[in-house]
Amino acid sequence: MADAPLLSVDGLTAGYNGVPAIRDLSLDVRAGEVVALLGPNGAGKTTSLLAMVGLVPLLGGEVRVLGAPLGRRRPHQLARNGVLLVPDDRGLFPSLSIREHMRLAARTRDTRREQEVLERFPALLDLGSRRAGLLSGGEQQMLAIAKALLARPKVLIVDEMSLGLAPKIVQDLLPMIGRLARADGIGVVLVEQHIELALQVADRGVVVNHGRAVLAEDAAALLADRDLVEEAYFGAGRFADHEAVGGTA
Amino acid sequence: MGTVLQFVVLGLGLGAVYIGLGSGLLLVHRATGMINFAQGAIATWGAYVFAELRNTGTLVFPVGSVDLGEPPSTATALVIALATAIALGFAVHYLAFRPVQQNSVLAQVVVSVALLITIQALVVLRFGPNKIDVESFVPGGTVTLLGAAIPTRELFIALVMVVLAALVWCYLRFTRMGIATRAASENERAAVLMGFSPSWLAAIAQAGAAFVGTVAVILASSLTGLNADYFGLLVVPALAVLLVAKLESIPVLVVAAIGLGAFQSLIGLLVTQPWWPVWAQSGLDQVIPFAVVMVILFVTGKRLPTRGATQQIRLPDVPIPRIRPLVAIGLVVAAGLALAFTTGTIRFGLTTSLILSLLALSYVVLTGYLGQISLAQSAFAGAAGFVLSKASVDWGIPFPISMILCALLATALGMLVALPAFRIRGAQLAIVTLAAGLGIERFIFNNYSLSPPEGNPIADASLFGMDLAVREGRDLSRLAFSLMVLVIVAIIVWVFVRVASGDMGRAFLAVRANERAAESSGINVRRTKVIGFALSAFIAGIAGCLIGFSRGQLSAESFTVMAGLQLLAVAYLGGITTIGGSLVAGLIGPLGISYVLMRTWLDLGEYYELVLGLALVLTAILNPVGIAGAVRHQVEFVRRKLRRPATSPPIDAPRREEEASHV
Amino acid sequence: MKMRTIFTTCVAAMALTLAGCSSGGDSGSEGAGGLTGEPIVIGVQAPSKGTTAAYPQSEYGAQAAEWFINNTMGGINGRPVKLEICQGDGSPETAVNCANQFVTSNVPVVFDANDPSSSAGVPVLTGAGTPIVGELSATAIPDALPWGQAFYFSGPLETSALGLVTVVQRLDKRIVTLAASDNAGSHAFIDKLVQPAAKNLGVSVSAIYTPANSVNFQVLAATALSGKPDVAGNLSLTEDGCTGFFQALRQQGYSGTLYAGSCSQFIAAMKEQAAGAILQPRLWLPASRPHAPADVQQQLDDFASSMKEVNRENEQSARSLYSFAGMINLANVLKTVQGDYTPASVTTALKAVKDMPSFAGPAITCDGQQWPGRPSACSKEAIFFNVQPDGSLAPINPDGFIELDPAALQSA
Repeated sequence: MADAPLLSVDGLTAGYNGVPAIRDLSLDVRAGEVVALLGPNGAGKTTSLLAMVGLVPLLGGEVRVLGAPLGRRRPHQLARNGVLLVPDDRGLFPSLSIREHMRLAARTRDTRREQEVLERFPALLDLGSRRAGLLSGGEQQMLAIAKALLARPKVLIVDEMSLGLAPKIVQDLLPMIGRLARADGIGVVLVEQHIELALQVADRGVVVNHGRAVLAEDAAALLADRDLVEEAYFGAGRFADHEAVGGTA
Repeated sequence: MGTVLQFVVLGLGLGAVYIGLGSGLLLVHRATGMINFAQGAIATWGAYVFAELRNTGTLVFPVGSVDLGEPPSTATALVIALATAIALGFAVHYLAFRPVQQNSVLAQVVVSVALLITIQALVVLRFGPNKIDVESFVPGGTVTLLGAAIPTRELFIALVMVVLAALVWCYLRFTRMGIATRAASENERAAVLMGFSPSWLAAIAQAGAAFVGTVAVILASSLTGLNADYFGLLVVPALAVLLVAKLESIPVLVVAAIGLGAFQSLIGLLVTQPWWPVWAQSGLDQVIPFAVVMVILFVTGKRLPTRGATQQIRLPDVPIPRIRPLVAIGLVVAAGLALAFTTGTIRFGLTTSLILSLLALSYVVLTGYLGQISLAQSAFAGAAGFVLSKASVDWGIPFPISMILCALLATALGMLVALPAFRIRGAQLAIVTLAAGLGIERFIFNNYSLSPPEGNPIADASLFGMDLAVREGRDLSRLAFSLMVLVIVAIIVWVFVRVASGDMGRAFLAVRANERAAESSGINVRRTKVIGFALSAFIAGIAGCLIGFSRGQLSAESFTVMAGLQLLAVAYLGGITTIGGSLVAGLIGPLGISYVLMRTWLDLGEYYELVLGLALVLTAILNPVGIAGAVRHQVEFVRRKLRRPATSPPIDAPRREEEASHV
Repeated sequence: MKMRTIFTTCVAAMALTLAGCSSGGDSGSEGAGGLTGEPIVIGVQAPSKGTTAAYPQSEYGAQAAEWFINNTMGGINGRPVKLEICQGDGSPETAVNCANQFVTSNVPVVFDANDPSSSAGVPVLTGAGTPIVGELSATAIPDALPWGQAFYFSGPLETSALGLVTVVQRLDKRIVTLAASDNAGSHAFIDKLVQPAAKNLGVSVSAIYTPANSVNFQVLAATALSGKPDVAGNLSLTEDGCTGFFQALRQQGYSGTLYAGSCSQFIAAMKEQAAGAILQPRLWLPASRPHAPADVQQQLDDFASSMKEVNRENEQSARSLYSFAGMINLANVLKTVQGDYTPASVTTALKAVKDMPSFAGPAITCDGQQWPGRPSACSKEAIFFNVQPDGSLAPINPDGFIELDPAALQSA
């Protein structure tokens, strides 16, 4: 696509207490694109996401969001500008009802659009007044996505959506996100453990290991060469002599 | 029956204040996770602005004032006063609470205590010390019900506050910002990710709390007049009501507030009955809220909501003290020489500073090392002092047995207060100890049956024929007494260092850092807490006795809750984690050497408390280790520079070293 | 981080110094009235500040007296008087500090302007032999001191207790309810002083206590009236407290007798509704001038003009009069001192006071024998007034002061 990326990460280095957890990460996300960020536990994926929305300070590199650098914008301002992160704890409020979550998501009350979004998650339709803490894992994840969609994001970043979910649900949800991305022109970054499903939905994949991006290819190419992905995950083969970087603090 | 109803309604005046303050406390707690001990004081400021506008037509600011000529109409004055209240709420958020959001609970408690001290001092400075009348613009009169005259004013006031509380409830329930406030208190990061600024939500909450509280005080003060410290301390029963509402539920808060007000009013009626025991005539209205608080916290302690914050909390580092004999002896000798070569008021000031540093040391033990926040230390000191009066004069017990016995009594009190500390901590423990201190002050210190009208004289001490009296003739401060104080302080400090550098000290630090982890590594947390409270109370008790000896006469005013809060302020300023801190605290405390010097050379007057409060706010925000800690950092820095001038390590190296001792 | 801590400590130090430099509230004393000779320094402890018991009027009265002594009385044997005023704020710390200062500057006498917190400084002063003098004491502590340490010209606290019961009984009333500030002093007063006397004289007294800094008048009045008293009165409320309480009583329909103790400002506020109220001040108050003997009228005029000279014309309450009168009495005693003015010589002069006329008060004798158990008392007389419809005060007893019988205070 010819238009500028919605999210552009260039040489991102971020970490805690001055110690980097991720180094020199670069990726672009354009409207309607899905980028899968893959890698084993502790690779630095979550840190990358947090850095992209300003929750973790940058130690190096640049993040450009909607054309402008992060600058001094606070995380909540980014969220209002349409860059939404669904974190690994799903970002829900246990004692608030589904309806209250939806109320928080949209600046102005638009019941028709609420209805529209909820219709994509039929399981939530009848549960309007139930508290989020009482929902099942799958329902919670659906709520997390639904409230993100209600806010009309330009960039949607989802961290480990499939964690703790039944396979059937994951098989429905992931492709749906892909469809939504393309239909509404949202730029999506997915951090996933479900490598196959993620690559099926994504346009491109980036594998991160030991705090560095070790592999960045079109998703189709990665799907075709599973061994390559495995090697990247386990630090074997041509990724073997890659120096280990600090790791997590 | 009619009389009972009449008194229930009369109690609604107080109940209205509880509703106002309680709703504000709840709102602020929801938005920030913090308890605002200064809520009453903040509410009082706006009421004073209103009264002054109506009485003299002057609009008073913290600095400066504007003379409007004619007193404005009631409505205008109300609008202006409430606008000031809102502004004050915003100021309080941005200047005091937001900066300590990521600091320890202790810093948060200290900041709001500091605000309480500052605002009360400011009120006295700007509006004068006397009570001022507040006009009542609410329709008066009575309505006859069940044969008694039921006042309509209290009904109206209570109604207004119930409506305001309902508005707060609606805000939290139905408005987007209110829902966001509740959301942020559960999961702050998630709220940020949805586009909400927790800081802005908190600012709105503070402004709203100030607004509601000020309305309550304006209305209630039309019944009782406006006075600098009365409404400030009503925050304690308001906290009791807040705890009953589990810090969450406005409807429960309203009911509890009305109930407490009515109950206190009925007690007021009952104590006038001839069959009511004399010893229980005063202070019951404070003891009851305290008992309520204790019961509630004991029963529900573990289930009270805490905030899901976004970052880890930093605790100030605590160095393990070591006895360095040369330094110690040097200090003692230096102190002895300073005492020997001064006379009169200066020596008295130095001696008092030594005693105050003991009081500050009790805070260091309890708060600096054990990490428990207690606002009741002055009550322990006072209890010991008062019993000393009986012991030395009535029962003729000789020194030093009398002093040790009285300190042991204080220890027993301390162990009692340790009980609630088993289940609660942080700001909630602060609330309990504050309520306990207030209850002890009203019910025991002011209890005539225990405190005769001729006062509480304390017989001079003597040991083996050596006269240890504090004064004789025109010698205001005898060397014998001062040296005795020095010896006692040195012994106590030595005991403290032995304890702190031993296993018990490490147990304290472990409990302070993480109770669960301490428990699972084999430390008996309960026993450790009891020992900590006991040791701290013992030290406070000794200090109380020494204060008694130095005065010759003990007054309740020396051990009020406000006096105790001032002590905490001074202890925190000096440095709550080190012995050096307690020494600095002694130097700057009331009637200590700085106080005496300032009064002699400069007319310090009423600014002492204001400066104390402001300095404490700054310290809580910027420098959790206090003056002594800052000095220590400086000394270390210089020492390092001197030792290896060529290869001086980076600035954050000392930090790491101290992290090592920070368990 | 280091810069910030340096910054903090600097700011704190600067602020403390600034606060010290801005000397507000420095109450110096008035001019020496053209008198030469070394001034006689008198220490004064006045309850000028604080949140519960501030009575600046007590300080103003002393200042007016200083003016009067130096400008009208011709000083003390030609020497002017200089007051070293220490403004109490209700805290014992200030009182102790004040007392220490007095002893350090070796003042020959300390005047207690009815300051409740001054008791904290008593051990310091008695230890140094500095006599304490006042018109009346605010607490029982100085009252009970051994003879020669304290001298109170108008009698001990018990004067008010016994006087109250005496006058109530003489007016044939039987049930009295009093409102009092809730402190140990009030309780002790009621239980130990008033109740025994009441029992002896057949009067029933009950008390309602209210926190000093917040009086809910409606509640107070309602509680008082629940006992259906003949006499409802004030024990230790402030002037504002009296006015508020009495107004509330009248609003709730009480038409019986009001007992106002020392309060007088309610008269102007309540006008006709105040008529019939009983006052028991220690001296002839300014409002009693129309009914006072000629010499007292002159004294009250002197008081008024002196207060005007120190710009306190509007503060002529009982409290300021007590300070004024006490200071004048003290000045008269000081005139009799032989030689230097030292604590010892002043004490000797005070002990020798016998049948001396006091300012707007009775004749006083300070031999320690006036009141059993209260050696500091110089008088056992009391005066009672009735509020007239025109707001003036007329003495209940045509002679003015009557002698009380302390024996009635002993438990039956």
